[in-house]
Amino acid sequence: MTYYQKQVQHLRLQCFPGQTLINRLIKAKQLIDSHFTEGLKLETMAREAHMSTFRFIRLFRQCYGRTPHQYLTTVRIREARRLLQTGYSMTDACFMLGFSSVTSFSALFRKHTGQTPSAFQKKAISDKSASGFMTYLRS
Amino acid sequence: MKIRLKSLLVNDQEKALRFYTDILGFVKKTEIPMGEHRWLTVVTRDEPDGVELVLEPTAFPPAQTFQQALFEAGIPFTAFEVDNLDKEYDRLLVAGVTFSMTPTMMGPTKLAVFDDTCGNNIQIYQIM
Repeated sequence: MTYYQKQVQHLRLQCFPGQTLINRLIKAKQLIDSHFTEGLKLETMAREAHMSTFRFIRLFRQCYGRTPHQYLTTVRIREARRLLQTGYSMTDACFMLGFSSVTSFSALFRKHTGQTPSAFQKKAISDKSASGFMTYLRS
Repeated sequence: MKIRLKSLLVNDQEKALRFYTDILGFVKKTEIPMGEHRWLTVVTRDEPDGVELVLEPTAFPPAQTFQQALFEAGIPFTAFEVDNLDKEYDRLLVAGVTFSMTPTMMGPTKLAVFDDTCGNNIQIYQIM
């Protein structure tokens, strides 16, 4: 067994709950992945994991490094970026992702990316043909 | 400031290019001759404008020592995310890739580690 394999085994036991609990958390996380446009409630996620909301938040954070709400927001913003990059308007992206208002969508997007959706979209289009070392060489 | 490049030390650039494109499925993005070596990068097929992996020659002797120590300890210094680890593991096994760690759960993440034939252990992972 390599040093790394021993470390993985040790950390798995030290840092994570048992596999049964992990499997329940994975089910809840997969619910977020597949239903992130539907205004998921914390209680629904916790129910999927068969846990109280308090325990669910604590274990989810322990395993995924962020709270369920933070993860849900990450998934929605990632999808928003993809939609905007592929040409959907800010309004379309907002409602496709289940946000109730363009203002709240725009504010959340800006908080997470540092740019408004329209600024992000404009930049994504102009950046598309330029990247990496070749950009450096051309500049 | 943006993260655009990630360097990976390889002991043979040509061999590495073949492994990372033919076996792993990345795509060559940039190749610029630089003396006896090359500025050589590959990218993910689906993300041609994403982070470029620089296949860096281990010409600097301390880098060789570092790379060898990591390899002998089985430590992967680079990791790639996959959508389906079991499927990728099977595909790479068929392609002749050698794994030092078979698919293993680490919390909610499934990991496996293989030899890239250029001096590195590479980890693939799937967040379940």
